[in-house]
Amino acid sequence: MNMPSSGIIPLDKLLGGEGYPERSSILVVGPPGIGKEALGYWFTHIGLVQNDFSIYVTRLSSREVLQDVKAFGVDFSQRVPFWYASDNNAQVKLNINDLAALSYNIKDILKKNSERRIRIVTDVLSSLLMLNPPETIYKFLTQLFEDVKQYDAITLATLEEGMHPPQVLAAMQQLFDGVIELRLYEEGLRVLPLLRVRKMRGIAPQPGYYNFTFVKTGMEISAYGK
Amino acid sequence: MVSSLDAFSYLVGIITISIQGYSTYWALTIRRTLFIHLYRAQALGIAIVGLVYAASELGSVLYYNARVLTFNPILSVIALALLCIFYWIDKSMSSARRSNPLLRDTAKWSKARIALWPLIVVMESLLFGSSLLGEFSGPPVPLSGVEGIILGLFGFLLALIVVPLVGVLLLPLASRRSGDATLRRQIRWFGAFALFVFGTVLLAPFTGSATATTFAQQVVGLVGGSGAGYALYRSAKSLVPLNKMAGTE
Repeated sequence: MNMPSSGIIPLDKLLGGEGYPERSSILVVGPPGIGKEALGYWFTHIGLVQNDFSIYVTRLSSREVLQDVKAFGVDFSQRVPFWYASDNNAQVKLNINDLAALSYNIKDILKKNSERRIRIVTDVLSSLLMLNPPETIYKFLTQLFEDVKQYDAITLATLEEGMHPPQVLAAMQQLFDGVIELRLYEEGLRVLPLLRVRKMRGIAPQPGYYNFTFVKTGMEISAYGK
Repeated sequence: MVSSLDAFSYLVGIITISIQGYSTYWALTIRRTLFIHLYRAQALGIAIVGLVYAASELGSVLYYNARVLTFNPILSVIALALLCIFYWIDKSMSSARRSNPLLRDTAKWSKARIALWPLIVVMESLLFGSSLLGEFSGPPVPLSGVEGIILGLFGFLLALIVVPLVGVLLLPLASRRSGDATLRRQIRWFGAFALFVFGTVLLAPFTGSATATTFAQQVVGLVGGSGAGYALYRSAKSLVPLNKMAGTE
């Protein structure tokens, strides 16, 4: 069975050639505005192209996501993900305060589409952590990942840097199978956006940093040499 | 021949312009690394506020020392500065909404902004227009002519009520609700910048006459300008969390 492509060829190469590990949960950490959502957009996009079942769970409205998506050259106009969002146009309306419903709805969607590979992309993690005690979210995610991994499914979540205490960030990183960091580093009078694969199940730890930028066809990644 | 007071005022201008220029540089540098339109616009807001402040310093130095300007720069700079500050406030309010876990739209900003923008542009146009009616040479006399006074006062009062009202009341509320520590830090430093600027403006009448520049005015200008520049620099650096390579594992 093929590993699920990230939708970004240079990132697939960085991850060993094919993409994310099967039945894995991936966390993308970074500050607001750096473009971590783009990893979710491209992951969803390639899933739609490959006829995988792609779910986009967002606290924003689907319209807002579609606006952001355009800036990264991703086109959801031909193939549309299954929206689990805060607006009435979504297939399922998200109530971020209701963890039980969130879990139930995702499991229900998985069950109904179990014959296909499923990609779940979400930007709700930071909001969940701000509205609930971290222990609650830790338990919630542990249980959810256990259920999701019974299917041929991959989850990709984004987490805001600078909004959570370091211990919460560390706990979240421990929970996920793979962690990709997109961060800004100050070097003299320059600011460098750097990518690091902090951990990835089945792949040897990669200590290196990579320069990255977003282009219309995805992402350009090159080794960072200090 | 350049007097020692003139030389000092040039020095004050150079220091203030340099610090504001440095703030603008950082805001633009950070903007280049961001990919989401809203956050890029927020960084641009800080950059243009820094630019306008630096331009106002330059205008002030030229006006006091060389008498080369053919219009009163004070009101036009206030008009432009308020417009730029309102742009940054608008983007920061939208950013606060986006950071809020429940997407709370403080004071229904996403709708209110649609009504406020045309109002602000009209006010600023009146203010800017009135600046052109000022004295063409000599010391800064704010306005001349009844039309100028009416236009200027109308724009000035409305702009000075609306922009601070939103900036002082709504923005801190929205940022506190957002739970975003980075945004809160950025807004706190921007608030410090505004305090330095308005403090300098408020102190101006007590430090000299309207017809001649004084040493006390220049000292207040130096302290206020440097303080405002530093606060804006810290606000620019607070746009996003910046990491240091040495600080990582």
